[in-house]
Amino acid sequence: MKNEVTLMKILFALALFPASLFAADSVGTFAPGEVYQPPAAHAPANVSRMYARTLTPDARALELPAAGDSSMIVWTLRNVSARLVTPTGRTLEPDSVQSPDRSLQRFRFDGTELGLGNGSQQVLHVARAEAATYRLEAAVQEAVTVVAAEPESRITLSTWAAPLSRQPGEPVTLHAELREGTDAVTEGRVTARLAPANGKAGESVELFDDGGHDDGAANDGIYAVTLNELPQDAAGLWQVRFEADGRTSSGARFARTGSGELMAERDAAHLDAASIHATVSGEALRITAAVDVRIAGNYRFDVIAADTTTRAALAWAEAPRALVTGPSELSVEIPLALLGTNARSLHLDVRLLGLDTPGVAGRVEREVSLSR
Amino acid sequence: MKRALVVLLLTLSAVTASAKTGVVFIHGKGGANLAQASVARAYWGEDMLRATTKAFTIPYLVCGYDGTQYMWVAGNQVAAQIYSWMNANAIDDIVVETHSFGGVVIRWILSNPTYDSRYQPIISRIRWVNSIAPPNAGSEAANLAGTLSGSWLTGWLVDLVGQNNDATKNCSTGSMTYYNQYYLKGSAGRPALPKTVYNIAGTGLWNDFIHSEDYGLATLSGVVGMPGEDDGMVSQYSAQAVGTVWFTTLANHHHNRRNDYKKIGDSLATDF
Repeated sequence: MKNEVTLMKILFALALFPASLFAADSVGTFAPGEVYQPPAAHAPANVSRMYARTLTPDARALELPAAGDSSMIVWTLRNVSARLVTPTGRTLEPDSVQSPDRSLQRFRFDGTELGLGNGSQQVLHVARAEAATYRLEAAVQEAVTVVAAEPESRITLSTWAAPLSRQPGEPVTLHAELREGTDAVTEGRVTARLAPANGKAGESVELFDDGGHDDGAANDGIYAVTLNELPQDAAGLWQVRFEADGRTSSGARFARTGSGELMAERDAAHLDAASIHATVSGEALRITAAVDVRIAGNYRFDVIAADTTTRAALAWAEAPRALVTGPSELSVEIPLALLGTNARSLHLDVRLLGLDTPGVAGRVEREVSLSR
Repeated sequence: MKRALVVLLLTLSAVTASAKTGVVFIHGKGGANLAQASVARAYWGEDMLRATTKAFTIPYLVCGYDGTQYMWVAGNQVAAQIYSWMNANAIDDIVVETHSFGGVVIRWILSNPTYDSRYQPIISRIRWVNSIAPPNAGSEAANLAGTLSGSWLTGWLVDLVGQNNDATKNCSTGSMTYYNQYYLKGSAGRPALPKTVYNIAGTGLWNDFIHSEDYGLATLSGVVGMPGEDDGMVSQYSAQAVGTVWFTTLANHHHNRRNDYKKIGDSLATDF
């Protein structure tokens, strides 16, 4: 019976998986001087000097705060008939292209090229924004996104989400940093919402700058919160939208919208860290690992070998494998010649990557001694 | 200079070895209709194709693919076309010209030779890749598409719904950081690509005040706040994150796939 099940699994694998995945394993060396870099914990911070709002038929006017240290771009992602009212009461009427002194101007362009919506769009440009609130008035039949940006402003919101590759069950940290130049903005309020790849965003969560939420010291301008779970059990790319507001050192209101991303990995397979071994076999280094596969399919067993001391990247190996559910042993060989003659111990970065649905099924770093 | 010498040597060796050279064009992201041959051709413009192929004397293929899909979907669509074309025409020396996301698509193919049985034969015949404005480290403009998508609203569907598609998600800085460290080769700390990629970064915004796209790109650049120089859609640092710098161009993202504001096609033609 057991043999029959095994045979069925083998036949299943042979029937479903393309011949390309039985291709030979690939090995290679790194370019001289290349240094091993572990995967980043999070993507580079997204630095924002803009914020997004929505005009709706119910609320036909928007308050647009400006920090007052920059020009301002007000972009309506549709060509609506809009009036801009400055804090001192000057207006750019819907039928005006510019104010007499050209300090307020209106442009239109086709958004198709930008991949940000079809059709004509509109930009209102304020040459030098005052440190106060502008008002955008427009009668719209449907919701229209409005983006207000202060490109030269010293007020910045830097945001990211971690871990970039998040395995099931791992907590998620949302991080935001509010700065006015190099100074911390401590009286701000920062919230965030998370949205799965093809779904709606969850409820808003607040980030804190109190020293108790993985945010560093209290009142240092770094706001954070750690979530034990994602709002939904959905794998794939999650997007995070941060909203911040507060006052500048001179008391002007400001607002900023930021973004972040993380990949919620599928519970596709478990790579057993303790099972990873490296042994010299003839003229090759043989790396083995045990894996428990939950989702059958095509995977790639990757190994990167670096010098333990210098972290000089030495060689890599990639082994495509068709895996059925249940425990499996993976192995790949790297010719010793590729590792150099001086290597005595190695730092290994061992990965199991999905190919049917790209994603990291597992990753482990290991130090191994190389006795020949 | 080094590149010119390589071109000369390859030209001489091609003559002696009877290699048959061809050019492949791979466009960037966009609509699903970019899978249609006529739409893909219009993406580049006739003058870009004419200039690069020396008045169509060099055999060429304009690849089309659904411009809303992830790089692995696009990669398979592109590979199918290249594979058929190179075999049907006995092309064994391919220069690949890419624009924007097309540079990421060809990196997917170059980085994952075992993913599809057609990839390795194609890679073996590629001489090199000229990659115009590729978002190798992602694009802050793509981040904005996510920020402005309809996911965040509960009461209203806004006009950006649908623009936050898989190709755009693929191009965000977060996604490209992720893919660069696990699936794509050629960036810092990763294995080298099997063939050389020459990058051409765009560093200009205001090219032609007649074209409204220039206003759009300048707006996008200002709103997004791209670090350093950019072409309105892709920052210079990102374009140059992989490969060897060939040159930079003042042509913005609208113009640097065409042979109009700057004669980029004329530069590409110097490979032949």
